[in-house]
Amino acid sequence: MPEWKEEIRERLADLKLAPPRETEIVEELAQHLEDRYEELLTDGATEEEAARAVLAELTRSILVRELRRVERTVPDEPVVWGARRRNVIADVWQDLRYSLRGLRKSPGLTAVAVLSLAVGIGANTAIFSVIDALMFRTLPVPKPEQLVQLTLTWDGPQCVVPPCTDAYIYPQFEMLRGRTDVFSAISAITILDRSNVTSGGPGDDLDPSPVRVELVSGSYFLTMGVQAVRGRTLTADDDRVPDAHPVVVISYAYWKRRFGLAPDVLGRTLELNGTTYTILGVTSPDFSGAWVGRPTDLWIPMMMQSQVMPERPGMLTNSKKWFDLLVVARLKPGVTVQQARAAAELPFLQDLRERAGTNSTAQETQRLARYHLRLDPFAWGYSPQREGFAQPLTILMAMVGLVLLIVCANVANLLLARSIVRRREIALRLALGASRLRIARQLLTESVVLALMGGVCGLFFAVLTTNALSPTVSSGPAKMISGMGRPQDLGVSLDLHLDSRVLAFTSAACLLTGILFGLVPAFRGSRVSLAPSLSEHGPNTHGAGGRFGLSKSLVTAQVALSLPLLIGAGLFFRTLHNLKSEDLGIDRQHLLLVWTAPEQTGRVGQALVPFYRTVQERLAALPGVRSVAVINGGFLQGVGSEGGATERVLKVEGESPKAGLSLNIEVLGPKHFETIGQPLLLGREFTDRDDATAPKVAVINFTLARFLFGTQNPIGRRLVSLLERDSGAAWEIVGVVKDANHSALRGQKIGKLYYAYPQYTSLLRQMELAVLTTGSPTSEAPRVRQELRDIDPRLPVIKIDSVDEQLDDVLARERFMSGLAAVFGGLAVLLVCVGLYGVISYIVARRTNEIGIRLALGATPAKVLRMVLMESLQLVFAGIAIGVPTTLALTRLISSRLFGVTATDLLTIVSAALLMIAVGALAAFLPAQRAARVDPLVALRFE
Amino acid sequence: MLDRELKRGSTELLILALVEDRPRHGYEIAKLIERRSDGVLQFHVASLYPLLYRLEKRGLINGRWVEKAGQRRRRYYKLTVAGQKILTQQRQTWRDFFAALDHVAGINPA
Repeated sequence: MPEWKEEIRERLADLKLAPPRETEIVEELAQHLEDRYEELLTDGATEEEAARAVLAELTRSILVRELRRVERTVPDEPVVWGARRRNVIADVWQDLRYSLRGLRKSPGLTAVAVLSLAVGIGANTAIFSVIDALMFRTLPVPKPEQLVQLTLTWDGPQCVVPPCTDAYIYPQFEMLRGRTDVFSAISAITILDRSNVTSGGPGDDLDPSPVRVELVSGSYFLTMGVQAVRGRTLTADDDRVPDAHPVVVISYAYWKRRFGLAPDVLGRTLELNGTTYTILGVTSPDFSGAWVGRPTDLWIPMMMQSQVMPERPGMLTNSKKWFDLLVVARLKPGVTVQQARAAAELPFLQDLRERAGTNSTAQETQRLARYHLRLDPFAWGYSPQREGFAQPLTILMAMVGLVLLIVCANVANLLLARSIVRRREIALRLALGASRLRIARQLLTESVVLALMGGVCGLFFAVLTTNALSPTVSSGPAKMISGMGRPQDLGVSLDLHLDSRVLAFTSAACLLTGILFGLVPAFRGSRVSLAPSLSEHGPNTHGAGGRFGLSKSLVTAQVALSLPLLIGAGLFFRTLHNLKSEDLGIDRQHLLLVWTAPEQTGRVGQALVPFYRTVQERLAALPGVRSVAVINGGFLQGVGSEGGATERVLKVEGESPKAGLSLNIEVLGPKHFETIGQPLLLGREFTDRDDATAPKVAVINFTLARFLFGTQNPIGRRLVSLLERDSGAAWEIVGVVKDANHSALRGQKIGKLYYAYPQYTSLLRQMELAVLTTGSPTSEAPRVRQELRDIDPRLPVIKIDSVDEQLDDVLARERFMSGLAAVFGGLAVLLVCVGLYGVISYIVARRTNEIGIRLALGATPAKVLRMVLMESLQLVFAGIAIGVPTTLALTRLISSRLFGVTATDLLTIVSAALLMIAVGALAAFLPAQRAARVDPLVALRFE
Repeated sequence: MLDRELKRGSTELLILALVEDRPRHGYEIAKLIERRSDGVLQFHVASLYPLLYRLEKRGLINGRWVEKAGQRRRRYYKLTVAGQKILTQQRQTWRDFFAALDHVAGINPA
């Protein structure tokens, strides 16, 4: 007899009926065919004839046509397990509804799971949103992929003479501007901070915070493709004649901050360094300039360079001076980067050679031959901090990734426990004919639903976290940016919002997490064996070993995953502590640090000397002030200001240059070392008599003295400068000071060369003051500020800080890292605690009967307590045994960010392990106690 | 064999009438139609069951799986109240139709 059901099913396949309906029809029709077949046999047909006749009556076309008329819709009926899969969407929908119902039934578990997932996914989203804003987000301009940055590069071993990066001679840019065949627009940009901005006319309403200015050529807004929301942007006509275009475009944020979005802002004026600028327009709110993370307030035509930068006037006409410029162009549609480069480079290099002149030496010609013009994508804007942040952010991303893994293990454990409780339900379904795959999918759907709920809550958590992160990433040491250089240590102020990329990341994280923590319980759950699960008591009393193996492994994994976090947090914390408490070689208690920008008052070079002197004298005369030191810059800023490899900077007179030490140059005033408390080892420090007319003198630090002279006395020896700007001048060494580590914290040994400022005015730009006070330094701050204002009201005072406050700023990134690492480490510990508690509680509850028997047989409660405790501690120990080697492998990756502590620091590792053990004992204690209190009689009845 | 159109119009009536006095399963219905029409009317599985499902869907008959001792589980269809109403109506319609035919063409209904 033919397989009637198969025949029918095969004919019905096209109809895609709901599985239960299909099963019903198949059964009914099969019976009919069977009856008919037997009837034909009875009538005398052979089996073959009967079968053929029956199948002939089951005409496919009629059956399908007629059934299609009747059975058009897929009815929404409850799942019949074991029915063949026909409609995927209907199945998924059923899975979803079923999952939600299941989760509603155990609200406690759902809440704990969703909450921990929210923390895990939220933390990942938050860190990713920082990465997204800094690394992935393109400038909010049309077709950002058309933007390229043109950089002059030198492929030699080390860049000695400018330009190294981002520098041009302005006329070179003008030459590039002619390449209209490949660029639709090209513009030059220089970005700087200015403090002397008043809005609403002279002397009125000084902006207390520095204002960021982009000096731009007239084609800037055309290049960027940015429009004004009010008025208009700058055009080529606003940038034709030097000093003749006092106009400005302001950012939306600046309009809001300084003008309260006043509608009549157009035509109003701003004053900067004595020049009055008329406001032409306001840019759109999402555009904040070319520098990512450093929003621009004002755009002023490049032709106003001398007014905006009184410290470096005439850069546009000077064909000798290298000028920090970003040159950004927009490629014409269809032009590739290679084509543009080919078109622009040749004439550019030609021009470079012509500038060098015909009488350049062979060496010079060789050097020029190594220059190239590079075209890089500028879609992501300018952001030197990207490099500085890349590593910390990668480390943080790895950390939050670990946290998420721990969360996964935790939730997997919860679901595993639940799937064991649900064993009977699952067994019933299997008995009804559901496939194991179907059950696994159902359980997996539940996990993904949980993860999605966690993700939604996680987004809220992420918003909270990013709000907390923003100020931390934006803090950095006090620094006035004049030009761009390579200020990698600057903070960034990022627009952290949830864009589509962040949301996509979160969704992917949810899905992955859901699958990750759902896989184990899903496979476990679907492997239920029927007979014992369906029996009245379930399998809970047979055999203690192995049943909890998976849960235990997950807890062990959690412990192992937490260790890197804990140890990392410990290492970062100790790094921060070491950096903060490092012997700076200065008086930390009584120094007040003041940063000013006298260059912005228009004083340059020699004109700054009397100003420095006046400031020093007037401040030193204040009551409560013992003495004052003036420095050109670089004091406690995290980076040295000037310098390079010793063999390029100087040599001892009569000897050849010596390589092997890097060197910093600082320019100081009299009484400097006395004021800051840096001990003088030999000779003397600078005095008022070391002025421009006196013999040139220098002070060096111990490291440099040792490097250049070994054990000989350097006093009276002469140093010859190898720098071009000094044209072979020589300085006599008059003093040696003890090393102080105040320009570059976490410093390796560095040579220090100090000049007296009246004798080295080319480095005078900013002015830092260290004021030694008799009492608390911060209480003197208002008086110092007032005195500076009395000396020159136009002098921008950027910041006044105590040494410790400044250290906090310099160490902003370290604080950021150690703070977040501590938070993540704490989270990990908490999660492990919850996980361990849950698993041990569960094991104890399932083993009540066994424990009861033990007690009945004479075990003491103390012994039971110890047994349970030891069992959980075994998991912790196993986790530590796996976690420590893993951590050792991982921490090596962060060793470059550590200071005063090695990545394999024993103390930190042991502390973390001990903490883990303590947490493990704590988490297991309550369930263990519960086990010890088991009443044997009750326990036996539990069976 | 009757014309297809005529057959389609009459099949509903046939089935409703057959399950009027007691519930019957599909094979029984097919056999009864064949036997009572002396083989003139034949229903094959491919057209009978879709029709049964359509009637069921319209609420005129009601199918139920029944297990009787010593027999296989089968699906029995019985007439619903709504089905009874429709059956009465259709009987009347056919009666009128044959009366009209008789008047015009001199045919006595079977």
